Amino acid sequence: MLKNRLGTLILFVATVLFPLISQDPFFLNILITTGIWAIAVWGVRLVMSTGQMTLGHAAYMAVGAYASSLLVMKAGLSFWLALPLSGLTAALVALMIGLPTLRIKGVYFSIITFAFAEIIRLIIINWPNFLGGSGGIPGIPSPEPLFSIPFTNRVAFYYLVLFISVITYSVMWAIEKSRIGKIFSAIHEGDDLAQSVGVNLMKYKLIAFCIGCFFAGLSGSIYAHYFNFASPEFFTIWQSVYCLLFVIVGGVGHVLGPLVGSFFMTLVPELLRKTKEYEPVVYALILILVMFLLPGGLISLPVRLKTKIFGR
Amino acid sequence: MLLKIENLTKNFGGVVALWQLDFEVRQGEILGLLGPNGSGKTTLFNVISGFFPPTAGSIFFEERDITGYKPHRIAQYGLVRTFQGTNLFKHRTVWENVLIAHHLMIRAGFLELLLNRSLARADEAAAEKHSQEILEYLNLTPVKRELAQNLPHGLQRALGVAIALAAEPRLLLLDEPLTGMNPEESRQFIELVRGLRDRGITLMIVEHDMKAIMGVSDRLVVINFGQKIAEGTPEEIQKNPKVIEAYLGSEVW
Repeated sequence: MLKNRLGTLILFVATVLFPLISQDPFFLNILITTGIWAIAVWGVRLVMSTGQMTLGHAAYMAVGAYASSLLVMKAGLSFWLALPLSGLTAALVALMIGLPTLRIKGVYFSIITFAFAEIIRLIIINWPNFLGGSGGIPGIPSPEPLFSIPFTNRVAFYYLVLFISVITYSVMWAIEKSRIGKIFSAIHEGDDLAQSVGVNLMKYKLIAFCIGCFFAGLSGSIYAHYFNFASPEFFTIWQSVYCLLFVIVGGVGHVLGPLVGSFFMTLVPELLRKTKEYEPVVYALILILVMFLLPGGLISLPVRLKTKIFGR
Repeated sequence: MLLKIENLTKNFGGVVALWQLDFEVRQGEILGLLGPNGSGKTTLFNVISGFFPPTAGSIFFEERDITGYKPHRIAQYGLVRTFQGTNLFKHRTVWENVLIAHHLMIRAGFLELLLNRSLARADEAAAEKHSQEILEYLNLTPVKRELAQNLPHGLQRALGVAIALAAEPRLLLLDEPLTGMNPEESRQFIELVRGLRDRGITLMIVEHDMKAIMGVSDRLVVINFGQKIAEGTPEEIQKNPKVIEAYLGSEVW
């Protein structure tokens, strides 16, 4: 337990100090992208913790991205207000979609979340006047300066993403330790049994779903204002699959799994630059390797190595 | 009168699983529910405990109309069921299984628990104390640290009851608890059932094992093809020609 705390603390300090060592735009971009994914992937992990395998997570990132862009560009709001509002918008959409769908389980739930995600994407494509259509929304402004710190450079963005990631991680950690976290895992392990001792399944699945999609929305908002562009092409079934992929590769069982998975899966395609078009193939290979060699995900690697070397 | 079933009917598409069932469960009794395979016993349990809504009819628990209520709400009112073929948190220990059942019954609000640390600690202490009592009562303390899936059959069933007891039921529905038990395990379980009744819990038991259920029930209800064919004391039921006919040819006799 203490070792975990120490490890996490070291990680935190390292990430805070990183830009002081290197301001290389390539690395910073990787870390910022990692953070944007991690925030969304932490959300998908929360939804999965109640046994619901969502294949539509990217749609809530889209809701966040588009809500944020419109709030800033059409309603003139500050990014700093638009960010939480985008999360809330995504959570609200999740509430509306969750109410009819969360009573469904298993693969049928995955199919229906995919269907709703496609509906959202098609709404965006078919509303060019308001939502920019298939061409997307170009020219999304970077965040306004905060405390006189400009956000047009990568370092500032890095700290923004780091800050939101820390908040996301803390929320996930707190939920896991809390009574509600125990309820989520009981629902995952045996929802009939949980119901028979008084657990309102719908209520708790909705809570997990809405909170998870809230963070997807935050992620989408940051994405839009970092890349200064939003398009329905960025929020397809592929991105939803990647959300699941990243948490499985990182390790579903550990609260840092999403971070590890997002980092690894962002890094690898960048290192194998030449094979960028084959990204899905590379990802598939990684998934297969992880499932056969490290079922607990990459985060289980230190423990496995220790057991192999030192025995138990 | 603790539980009252009125005109209860359940259709699944064209299949009539339950048809105009009327009976009641009285406070403090052990009611046995008998019927051949496919007679609708488990469907009846599922409908009473809210897992399926009835097609027609009413269910009253402690004078309250609970027809159509969701399972969690019915459980919160004090009507708890166990599952056929045991339902446990398999990868958790016996202790964790019973303790988590307490955690699932939230009494204080989530935010309240987060902010009021002393309330949370008192809550946790009460949950642990109650879990310990339940385990001792069911003689599960020796296997406290065992994984649920590693327990022998009889103990798994006892653990299922332990989880249900965490919810402090006033009416406990046991779904075929003796299935797969050897005679010794059955005997012990019947003793357990008697003990529960002595502690003020009313019980309704669905069972195949005629001998055991006759021995422990105060009254019996017999159903076949979803309809009530007899109701009465074990002596009355044993002499009932309709009951004998229903079970004729079945290996239970």
